[in-house]
Amino acid sequence: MKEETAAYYFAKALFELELNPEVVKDTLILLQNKELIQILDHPVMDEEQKHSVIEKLFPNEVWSFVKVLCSERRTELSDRISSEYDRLVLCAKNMMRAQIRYVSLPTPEEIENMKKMLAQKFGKTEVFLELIQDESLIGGYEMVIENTVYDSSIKGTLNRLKNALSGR
Amino acid sequence: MSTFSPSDIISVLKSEINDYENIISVKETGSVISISDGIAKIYGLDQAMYGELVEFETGVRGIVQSLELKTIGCVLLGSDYGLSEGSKVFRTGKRAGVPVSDQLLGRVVDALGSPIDGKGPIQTDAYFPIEAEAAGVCERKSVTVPLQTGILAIDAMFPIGRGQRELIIGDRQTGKTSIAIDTIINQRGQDVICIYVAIGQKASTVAKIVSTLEKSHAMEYTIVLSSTASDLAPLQYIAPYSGTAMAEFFMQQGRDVLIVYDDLSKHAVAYRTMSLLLERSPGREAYPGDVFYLHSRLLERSCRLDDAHGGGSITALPIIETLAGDVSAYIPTNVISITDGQIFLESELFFAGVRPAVNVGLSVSRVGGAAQTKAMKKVAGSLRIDLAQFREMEIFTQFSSDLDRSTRDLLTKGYSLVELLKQPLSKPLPLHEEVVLLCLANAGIFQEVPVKEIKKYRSDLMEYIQIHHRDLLDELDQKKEISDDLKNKIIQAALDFGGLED
Repeated sequence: MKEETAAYYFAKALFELELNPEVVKDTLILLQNKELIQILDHPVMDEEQKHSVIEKLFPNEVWSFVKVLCSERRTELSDRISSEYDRLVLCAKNMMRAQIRYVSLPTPEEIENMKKMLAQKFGKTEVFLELIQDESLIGGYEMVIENTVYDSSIKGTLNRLKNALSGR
Repeated sequence: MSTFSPSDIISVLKSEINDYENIISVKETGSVISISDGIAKIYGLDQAMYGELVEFETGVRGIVQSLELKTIGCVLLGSDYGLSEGSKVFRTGKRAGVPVSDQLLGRVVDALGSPIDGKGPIQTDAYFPIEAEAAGVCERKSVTVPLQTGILAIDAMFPIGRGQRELIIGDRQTGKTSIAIDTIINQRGQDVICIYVAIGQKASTVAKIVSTLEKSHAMEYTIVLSSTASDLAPLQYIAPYSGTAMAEFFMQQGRDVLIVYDDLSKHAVAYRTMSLLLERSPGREAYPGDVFYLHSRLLERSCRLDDAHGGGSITALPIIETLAGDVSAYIPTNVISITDGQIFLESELFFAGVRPAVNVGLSVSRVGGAAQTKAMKKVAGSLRIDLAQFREMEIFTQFSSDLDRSTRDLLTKGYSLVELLKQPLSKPLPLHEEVVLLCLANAGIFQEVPVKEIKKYRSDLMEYIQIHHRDLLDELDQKKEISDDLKNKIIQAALDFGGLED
């Protein structure tokens, strides 16, 4: 199975177990530790030794999940599982994340307006905005929501003008 | 070449900029997870369609070829330079296609329809998708109009009709491409547009073909679509579909098109490369499971439309290269079963000097008979059986010296027919000449001539008939029929020419 597909199925299973999201998030963050991954993926260490490490490090409600991840040698997927799990949790709570790239930082009022507009447009109760400064945009904004980019930057406008002039 | 003044360019730019509407663009994006050997795995683009064109941040385009739960597999149609893990990919919402117009005639283009002959840009009228549905049952008409190849052996025994799919199959160096090129050359003045699609060929071979076509003034009505061996496998894969899209553009205008796919063995290999890189399960000979569909959907687009749909046609001449004459290999059997007949070329015949090296026993044309002119049908009637009997008898009698008269006659006739069917490269024969030669062969005229002298006798005789009996040839050209009276006149003309008594 492809890594992305596997990560999605692990995240979905984890979500359906209805565990405490905070505990799951902490677990997945801990699982991104390179030294821990080395131990859990070590070919010489036997299963029992690995399980005892897991039982010492993680809360008991996620033991079985981490043990399965470890025996399937999929610990390196933890960052992808984490983002999929986060998306599923937000979706269940009718919330969403959006990313805004800007050249000059919008005022708190503008940010609040953006949040309201997005919540209304997508029918969400709350929108979490991630603000990233990107000088290459020249001016304007670029908004990324899941897989869709809403581009009103000067860079995007120039690109579109270039394509229109070159007949692409 | 036309020139533009700077003020013209500035005014065009000004009007373009004034008319330009600045709207917020909404694009679906994904990001590259991995990229290698012209294949990119992309995360995101959940809504992408199979076969959709996507654009990478470097401007390179690709075609979606596999859809999975969280990722898509995409084949690149250009260089992967500048692309890396995390590079952005955008949906275009369009299916892959090629620009089409009448201006493509006489040009050499690549698999995406861009000119590669250095003769400047091509003004295009429309954009045709490379993958299109074949015409339905009710839109088609049966094949009734002949497509003359100008090759006596083929026009007489394995006639090809407009809208037919006739496979040319044989080992390497048996004259497969030559038959296709001669057929293209013979379409001069026949109101047929020709498209030659080179798949995985050497660039030098394509250059040679282009120069042959130019010398024969055949480029005026021909498009050469080249995807050479150095092109990426995805480009080789789409080349025949692009060629067919161009052919469909002309067919929809009610015109007749001849398309040559040279060759589909290399096309299947390119598709196998692409499929294995896309991690599709390999099947027989490591080809993916849908390799039959790969060619069936391509060749099914060749057809003859009925009058309500313009009456245009696409005649396909796919070429398949066999290994050691093995027609029972995977790809040859597939394409044989898809096409309406095959012309099988044999190395042994080729090296014995029989050119075109058509194997009469294994070649067949399933629908062309209906498209043959009455004159040709009448004179070519028993030719195939005569040759088949001759081949059988030739093998049977090769160790025997004491033969009865009827066997000797059969062999003499066979040798003279084989000699008669030999034809040099790029010298297609007009219909009237083919009919006259076969008519005289049936009358046994050539049996009286020593085999070594048949070639000279034939050309002298034809020259004589053209000078002294032009009316007979004109009658054949007009009526496309041969009455007993006309037949007798032709035989009499040959007898008048003399040379037989010597």
